[in-house]
Amino acid sequence: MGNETVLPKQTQVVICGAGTVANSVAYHLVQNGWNDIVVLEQKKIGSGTSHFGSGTLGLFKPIADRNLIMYSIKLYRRLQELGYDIGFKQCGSVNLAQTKDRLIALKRQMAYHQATGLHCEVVGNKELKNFHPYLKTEDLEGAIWVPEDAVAKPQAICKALAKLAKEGGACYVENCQVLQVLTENSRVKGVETNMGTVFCEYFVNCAGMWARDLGLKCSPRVRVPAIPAEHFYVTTSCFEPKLDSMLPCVRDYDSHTYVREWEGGFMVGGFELEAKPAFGGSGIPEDWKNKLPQDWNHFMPLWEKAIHRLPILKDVHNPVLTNSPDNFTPDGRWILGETPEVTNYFVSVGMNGNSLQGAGGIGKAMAEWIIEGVPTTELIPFSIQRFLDLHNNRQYLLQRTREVVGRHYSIMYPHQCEYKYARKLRCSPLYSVLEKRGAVFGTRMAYERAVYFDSTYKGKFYGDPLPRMPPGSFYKPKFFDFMREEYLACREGVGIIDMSSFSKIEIKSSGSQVVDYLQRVCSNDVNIPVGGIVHTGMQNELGGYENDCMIVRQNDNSFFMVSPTNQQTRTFEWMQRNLPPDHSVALTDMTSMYTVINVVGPKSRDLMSELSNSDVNLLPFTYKKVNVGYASDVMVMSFTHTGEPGYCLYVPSEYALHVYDRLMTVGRDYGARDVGCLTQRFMRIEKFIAFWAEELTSLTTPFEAGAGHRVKLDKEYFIGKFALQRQKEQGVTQRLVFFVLEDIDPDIHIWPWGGEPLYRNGEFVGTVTSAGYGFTLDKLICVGYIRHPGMTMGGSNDRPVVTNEFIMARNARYEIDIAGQRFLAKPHIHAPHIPHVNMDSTSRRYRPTVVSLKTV
Amino acid sequence: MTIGCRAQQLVANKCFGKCSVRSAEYRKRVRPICTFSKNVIQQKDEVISEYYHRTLYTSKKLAATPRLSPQEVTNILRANEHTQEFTTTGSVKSYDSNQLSSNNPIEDTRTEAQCLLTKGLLLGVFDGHGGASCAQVIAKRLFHYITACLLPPDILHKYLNALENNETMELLDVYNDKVELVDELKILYEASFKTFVKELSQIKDNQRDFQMKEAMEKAFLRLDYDLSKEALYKNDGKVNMKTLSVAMSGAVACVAHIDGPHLHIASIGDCQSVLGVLTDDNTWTAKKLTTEHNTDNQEEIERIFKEHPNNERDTVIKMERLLGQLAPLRAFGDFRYKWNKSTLSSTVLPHYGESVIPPNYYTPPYLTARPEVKHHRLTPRDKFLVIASDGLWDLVSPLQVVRLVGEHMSGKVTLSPFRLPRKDMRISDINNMLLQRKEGLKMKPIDRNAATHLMRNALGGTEYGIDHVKLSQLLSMPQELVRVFRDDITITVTYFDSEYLRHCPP
Repeated sequence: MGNETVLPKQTQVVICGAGTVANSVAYHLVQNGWNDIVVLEQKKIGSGTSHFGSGTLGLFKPIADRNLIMYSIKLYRRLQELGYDIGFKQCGSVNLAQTKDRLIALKRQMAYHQATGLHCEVVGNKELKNFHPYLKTEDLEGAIWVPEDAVAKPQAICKALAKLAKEGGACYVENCQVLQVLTENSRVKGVETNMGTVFCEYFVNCAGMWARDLGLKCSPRVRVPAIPAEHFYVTTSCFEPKLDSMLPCVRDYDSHTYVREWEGGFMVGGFELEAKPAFGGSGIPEDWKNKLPQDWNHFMPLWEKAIHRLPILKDVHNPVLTNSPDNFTPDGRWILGETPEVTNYFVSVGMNGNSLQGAGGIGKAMAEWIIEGVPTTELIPFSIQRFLDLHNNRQYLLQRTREVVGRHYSIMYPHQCEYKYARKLRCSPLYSVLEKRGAVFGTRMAYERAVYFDSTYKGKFYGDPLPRMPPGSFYKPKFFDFMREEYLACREGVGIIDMSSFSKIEIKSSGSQVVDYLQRVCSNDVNIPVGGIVHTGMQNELGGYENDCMIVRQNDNSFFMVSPTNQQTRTFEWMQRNLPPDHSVALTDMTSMYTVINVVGPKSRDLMSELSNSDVNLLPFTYKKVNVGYASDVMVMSFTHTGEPGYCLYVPSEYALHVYDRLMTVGRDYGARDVGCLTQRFMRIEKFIAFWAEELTSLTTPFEAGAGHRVKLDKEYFIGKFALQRQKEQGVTQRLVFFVLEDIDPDIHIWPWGGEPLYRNGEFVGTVTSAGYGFTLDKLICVGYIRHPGMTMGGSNDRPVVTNEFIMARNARYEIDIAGQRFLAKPHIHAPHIPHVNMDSTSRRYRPTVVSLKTV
Repeated sequence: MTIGCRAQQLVANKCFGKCSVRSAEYRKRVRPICTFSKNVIQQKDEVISEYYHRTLYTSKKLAATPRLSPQEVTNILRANEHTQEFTTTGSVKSYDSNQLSSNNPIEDTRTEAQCLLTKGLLLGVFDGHGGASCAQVIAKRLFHYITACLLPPDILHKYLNALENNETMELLDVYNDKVELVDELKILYEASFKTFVKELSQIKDNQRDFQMKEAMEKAFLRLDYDLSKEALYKNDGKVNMKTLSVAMSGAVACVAHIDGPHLHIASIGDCQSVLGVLTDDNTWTAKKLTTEHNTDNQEEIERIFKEHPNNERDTVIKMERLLGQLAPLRAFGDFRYKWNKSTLSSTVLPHYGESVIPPNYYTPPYLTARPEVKHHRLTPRDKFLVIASDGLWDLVSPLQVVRLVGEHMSGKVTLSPFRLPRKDMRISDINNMLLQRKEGLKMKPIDRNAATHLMRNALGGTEYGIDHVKLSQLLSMPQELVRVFRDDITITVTYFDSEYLRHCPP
């Protein structure tokens, strides 16, 4: 069976690119019975970057990545069994820790791997020598052995998958260049190539390092923010005698290198701290394969570290350095899914240096997504909808790529590993002021948000360097005392939080269509009185979350929606897709129009009354336009994002500095203090407020998340109603539970940060979705979904129901595994009672406080 | 207000006509109920001897009185000044207090004390009339009654146990207390207080619906009740002349309880308290926290009318006085306006004569010690609280008082040498500080103590600043005349910690 030389006129799916990922998508489509597929390749199958690559398959990754890689290994093993010579060897891997923190990082990963069925164990230096006799182990803190890790030949797999796809009916057309992806009403219509036009229903961009440029060849343009970086590995000639072919792979993270056996010798690769964008940062040249210089100067530091780890390498003659560029994404995660710009335009690119690893699982996930119309596994971390236009800016990508490569091997301290390059891009109008007041920033959706405020920073003295985040830690953050001050301000005085990064969308119509529209996409009743605010989810057909937002009714036919920062692209796309076809409802992204300031705490009412010269005694979940200082038309909403009483101010951005200045100047007498988003995060966790992308995902429902009261099933049809109705009748199979970790001493122990496995009577029942410090409880706390044991990997439809009785059963003993140590976790269905702070300070009755008595 | 006006107003004391004379006579007959600690007596003697030295001159010859030197004036003004600073964190930074006598002995008293079992600072100014004894006793006893009413049941029980087992468990740490009651009264009062504590402890769950207003009222009324009981108690049919003299004299009071941002003021009579508030635009405003209970207060008059039959309307308030005699409409003691006629006839009349029963005395009691209690939440703009007897308020208005203390606050920093608050300062910041200091130098006061500063300005202030001649005259007047020109003055100025109030929990 050969390749076609004539382009068909019409097909169902066009896949652009014939690398491993593309072939895997094609293979899985035909496996699922979709065989009307055309695969377009500009040169030859596997002629892109897929023929490079170390061929390592590492499972020791975050859980979402790992699940896909696990499938890849399964698939490749089957290919081997089918008789393909793909060099598949399950040789295992050793993952080294040179520092204590690294070992903690590895043990944290190990904890959830062990819980979810991946075998791995900590090995001592002596044992390590048995696994890999060439290793220098004296300077190691420890290592993790992952026996299921494997290696394979990337190019062979690429070819094998193409062959299988072809056998299944996929049509491969080589030497075919895509000129333009044709659309109609923002929907894929066809593909124009140098060989003519093919009409199609679906288009899949698997063009590897050409994907970004391909994305631009479409109207509207499609964002695929990934550019290639130079990526190096060294191969040695065969050793005498030949190395054991089952020698495990070595990942020496702290040296930023990996080593595997390769044709009797070694292959040494690196994820260097400062990488270089490929081809000098300009476009990919036609003869790119000839423009891959061997930059020994660049690789030498890594090579020296590799020699340190494997002294045997010292005597190697003529090692060959290969420059194998690959696509890196701004956050180092794959880019998968349907684009927000064009319906049925799918993307799966951004393999970050190892396309083989993900290809199998990604192919399956994408094929299922195309066929089902919705993702069948948890893919939010990889969603292409996490980007904005700015991410696709070449300058931005060039800067970011320099550090993204090395981050793959860096320790990712929770909330304390901010990017170095391409910063200060999206800034709140208050950015410069907050910076002077000691803000230490982190980014989300490239938006600079104050993580915390260093109150010791004396900003007014010129020349003082800005405060920097101290080195990260898995224990109590080194800046924690500032957070405690911030919390106290929110509990006892006034906390001021800049929340401008939240996405804001205005939804309008001339008639009442907007109400019908919102009623259809929201699961709560949004037909509220003008001036009211409602907290609602937007569900998909399965009842899962597509968005969690606040909806404000400004007028009869005008609403204002606020959703989390990282939802800006995604939610807009979702809402747009569900708009009535008659264009009667208009959506406008207002994110940049308003500066959002939370004024939190018991003295916030007095402060706002003074600033606005008016009564701001608003009913819960209502808003009012008031003048603040000299500014007019500030929307004051009676809720905060912390669970504490207070207000959320939507300030037209030109007034932002004025309003902030008044808040701080007058607020001084009310104990006002800047508060960062990490404190806000901890406060909302303590109030058991579930959050988008952590607790609320497309695979979790309001009933599972404990937000069932926000679902109005007695309402007319809304998206997801039937699924939710069914779930309400049958009960949930997972339930979000709040845990207090009584035994953990925050000053001594490693903190939970999310991702830790939860055990019930010794059986794995769920994973922590978010964790933090409960300031009021003075304990570490976490939340996570609890399922019946053995039901954690997805599965059959008759899953047992999780009831309150099951969760709170007297004999249930819950434990959390933090980096290999288990601690008792006390479950709560509702957040533990926290004494309410009253905003009516003046009406508070006085009660004498007893002075602690000396023993009488 | 000129001295001339003042003289007209002061034709009579709080007790009208004869009665005041009578009690003055009586005072000489009764043994003192308390002693002052030694150095006070010495100081007093000095001052008093000066008075007598100068009483050789008649009022007409006043102009010829040898003028006091500035140093002598300052010595007289500062004789009783006291400053207490607090190092523990709380809303009160410090207080200044001072007293200047006109009567001999002074009829004003004052007490400041830290509560020891519950949090809070108590400050009180008491203005006695018809003799000093009632005010002296109130100053000694009232805070104990208040603190007892603030104790939660469990602590109250502990305290009672300590009392019964004669263990020491102090309720109060009293500052600058130089007065000691005679032993006989001490024992009697301790017994009364113990009974009260016992009764309090028998009330169940009183803390559950604790109300500061009720607690304060209970303390005031109970102490007044005890004064009455102690006076009427006859040992072997004999009246105790000491307790009776306390009951026959009276006192008005103003007490502040400050715990964190909570300020409660309980007052009876015409002592006043004023809060100095610094507004946004850096100007001082005065916030009065008390209403005087006298005939200027229409509500008080209505209250009294309501409590007595209609046919007494013309007699119950007469010539701006209660029953034509008493100026304050609420007071401790003064049982001649509280006891019924037969009690007065049988117990008091034999010792005090016919005139002890006021005219038109039909439906007693006419007088009460129930305080008016106000709560104020301190804000960082509330900089200080002035509590003073009417001796001050007769001379200066609340706003004047607030301005004087406010200026004093900024001026007094210049009394200490300039120091840099921290090391790493820029020249421009130091310059700013020095400019501020220069501004303050214009207001550099003579006295460090704000209460003294107030007295000096109240007595010697003119449009052109302090007039030494006027001050000297007022301070060197003969004893029989001085009461016409100035009353006893007692002032307590309490300073608040704005930084604490900014950050304190609500």
